[in-house]
Amino acid sequence: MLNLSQYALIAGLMLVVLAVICYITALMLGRSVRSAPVMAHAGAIAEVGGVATALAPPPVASGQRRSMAMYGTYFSRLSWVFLTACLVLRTISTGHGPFTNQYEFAVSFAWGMIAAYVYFEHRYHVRTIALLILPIAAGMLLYALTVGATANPLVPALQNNLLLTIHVAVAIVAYGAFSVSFAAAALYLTQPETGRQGWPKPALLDEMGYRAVIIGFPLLTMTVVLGAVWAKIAWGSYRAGTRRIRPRCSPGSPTAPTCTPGWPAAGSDVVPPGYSRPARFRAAHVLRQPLLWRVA
Amino acid sequence: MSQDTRTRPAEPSARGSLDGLDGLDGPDGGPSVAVADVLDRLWRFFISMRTGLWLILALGLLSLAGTLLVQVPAGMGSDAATRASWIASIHSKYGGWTPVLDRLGFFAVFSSILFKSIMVLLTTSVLACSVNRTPRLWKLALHPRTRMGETFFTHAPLRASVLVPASPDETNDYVRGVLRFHRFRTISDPEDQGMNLYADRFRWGPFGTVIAHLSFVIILLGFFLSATNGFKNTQVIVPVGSTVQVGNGTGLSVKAMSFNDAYYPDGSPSDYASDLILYKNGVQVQRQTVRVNHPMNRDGVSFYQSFFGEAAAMKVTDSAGKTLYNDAAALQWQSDDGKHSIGKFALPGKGLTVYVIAVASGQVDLNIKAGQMQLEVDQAGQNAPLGTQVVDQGKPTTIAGLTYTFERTRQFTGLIVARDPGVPFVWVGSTLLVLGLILVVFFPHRRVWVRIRRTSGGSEVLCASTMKRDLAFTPQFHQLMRDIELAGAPSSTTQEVRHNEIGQNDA
Repeated sequence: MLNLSQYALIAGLMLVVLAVICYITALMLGRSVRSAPVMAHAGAIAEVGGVATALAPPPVASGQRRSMAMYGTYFSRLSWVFLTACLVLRTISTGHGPFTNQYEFAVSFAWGMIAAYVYFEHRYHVRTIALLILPIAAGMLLYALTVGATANPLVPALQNNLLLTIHVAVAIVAYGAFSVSFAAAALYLTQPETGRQGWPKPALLDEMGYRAVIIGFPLLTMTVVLGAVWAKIAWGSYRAGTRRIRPRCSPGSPTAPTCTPGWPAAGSDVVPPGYSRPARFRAAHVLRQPLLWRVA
Repeated sequence: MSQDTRTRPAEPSARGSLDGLDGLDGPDGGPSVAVADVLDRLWRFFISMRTGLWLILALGLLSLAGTLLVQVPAGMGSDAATRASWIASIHSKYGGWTPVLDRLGFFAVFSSILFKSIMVLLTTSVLACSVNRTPRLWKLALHPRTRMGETFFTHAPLRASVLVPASPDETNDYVRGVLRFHRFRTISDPEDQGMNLYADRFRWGPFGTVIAHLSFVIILLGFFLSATNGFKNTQVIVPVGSTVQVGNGTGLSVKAMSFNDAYYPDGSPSDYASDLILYKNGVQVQRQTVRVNHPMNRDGVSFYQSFFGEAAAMKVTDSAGKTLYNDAAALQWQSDDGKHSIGKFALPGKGLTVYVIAVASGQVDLNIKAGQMQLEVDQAGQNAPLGTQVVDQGKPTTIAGLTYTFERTRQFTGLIVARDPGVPFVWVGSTLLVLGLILVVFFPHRRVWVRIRRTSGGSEVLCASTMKRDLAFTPQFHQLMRDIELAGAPSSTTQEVRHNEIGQNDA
């Protein structure tokens, strides 16, 4: 099952790369990779069967360009399907949501980005953002391949299947939405106010970025709240940000117990547990105390 | 805080006249005008969005500092000497900046006066904004303005008009039908017998801002309740077989029956489990295996698995054979060189502190062999210890007149015990925060004003809408116009459809 999941990942990565190649080719063939309805802003438009097409006789490259862009769309959608399969297979195999180590999180993050891209592309017909989003997603998938697909069992802090799944899944969708807003904002900021020929219009990018943010923002809020719920259940505090502190007590101090050692809260940092490093349950031997230690 | 900047209650001219009044000029009521002016300014300060933004920015910066910089552990701030030694210990990390950061209070950000003051100001601002905003939102939802002036229909950001070959009364029915079909509420202007219509959708959406604002106050209230009525002890050490009082007026005590730490073949931990029995006033009330994600809860007090370690079971008797101590001392500290684990217990009646010193795991000390502990007995007020001796397991040894027996090592489980009465408030507040956000962003108040005029061929329907940041409404508005046109008469011809192109991008 894990092998199948890995094959799906490789297929997904190849499709993402293919999609990027298609989009770049389309960009080279013409200056626009925007899909038909919004592409024709320069010329007059005729409504033909509900789809607007440019009246001016299209150059030969236009047809190729469009088909390349279409292939890009197909490939990106297909890559999303394969990544979904990869994550589902892995979840079935490991018995928990695919969010517990660098490999799983990288694949999930890429999945979220591609999902958000596919949705916004479908809704706004703006493909240019793919040139920013898909290479990042491809990079994450490549990274996942380098860290290896070993499925490690869960450390105690992560043994909460419900919250692990909801908390991280919501975060993934939020991050995906934000990657779209990032791409839209980047394209918006790199062109003049009046827009640039062949690029999506600033107003459209503005709207798309705004949409992505207002979808992402409540989701990210939910992520934070769910994280607090989880931290409260696991550690009794709203955040797992307690750092490892090694306080020293003054010699002979009667306040040794108040020299609170840095061991509570399972030593995970602000980074969600399990991503940057596994949250470790710390044994007692943390505090270093210069006691009246008079052994020669 | 408020999204709407039209929140200032006083008209500029009225304010000007107030400002122009010198309190000393008018013998009657002069001072009261000054007071009113100050209050007015204060009110305007608190309801200003700018105030809110600055406060949030300040709070964000402070929180960032508190997150990035090491913070003084809870409970240490009260003891100056301990605190000083703690500050010295972080000197290697922050170098010359340490005293500066300490002076600025950056090692205790969240308990600093500055942080608390900003919180209070922000709460006041949030409440003021809510108080200021709610009545207007209420009016907007229940008693909206149903008629707009003529210029509105020619200048609104979103506007259109269609001609329909029907009488104004018939057209009025069509238009209302179409609006209702699009799930708009319609209100006819009472003075004009249906020639002016107001329609809106999601009129409760703007209340999301009030809910989100109040949720902040509810969350803060939760924290306040927890801080004032709750307690949190992160250092509850219960050696296996021992019973420890929870204290804090709970009447609870907890006994550890066992502690188990398990590992995967790769060495990473798989489970930490404490089998705990809970007593209330000496009577067993609960027994549960507490794990990292499975705390035990009783009477609002929660027990969380937090750490573990070794303890040395010790027995101390005096010369008469009376037992002075019979418990386990947790070897919870480590010597500076990392070679020894150290525990301690007190014999209060004797003014003695006993340190139990073991070789740390993986270390070697030729003086303390396996199965041995070193004991060091300190008398309060004396620099030199009364005695230092290595003792064998199970072998009574006399130091300074008392007999000490190291019985065996036991595991201890470390718990966080907390009573957090504010938790429900925090969760309710958090839920409201998310709900409020969703209301605001996904249910924007959409308002349309309609005017129907008689023309030679029938009626002219003018529609206009104020559109703030609701780009998704533009296509719906145009669909509305098309539907009105179709409903009016299938054979009607559109004379003119004026579209403002704001937000219209696809040509």
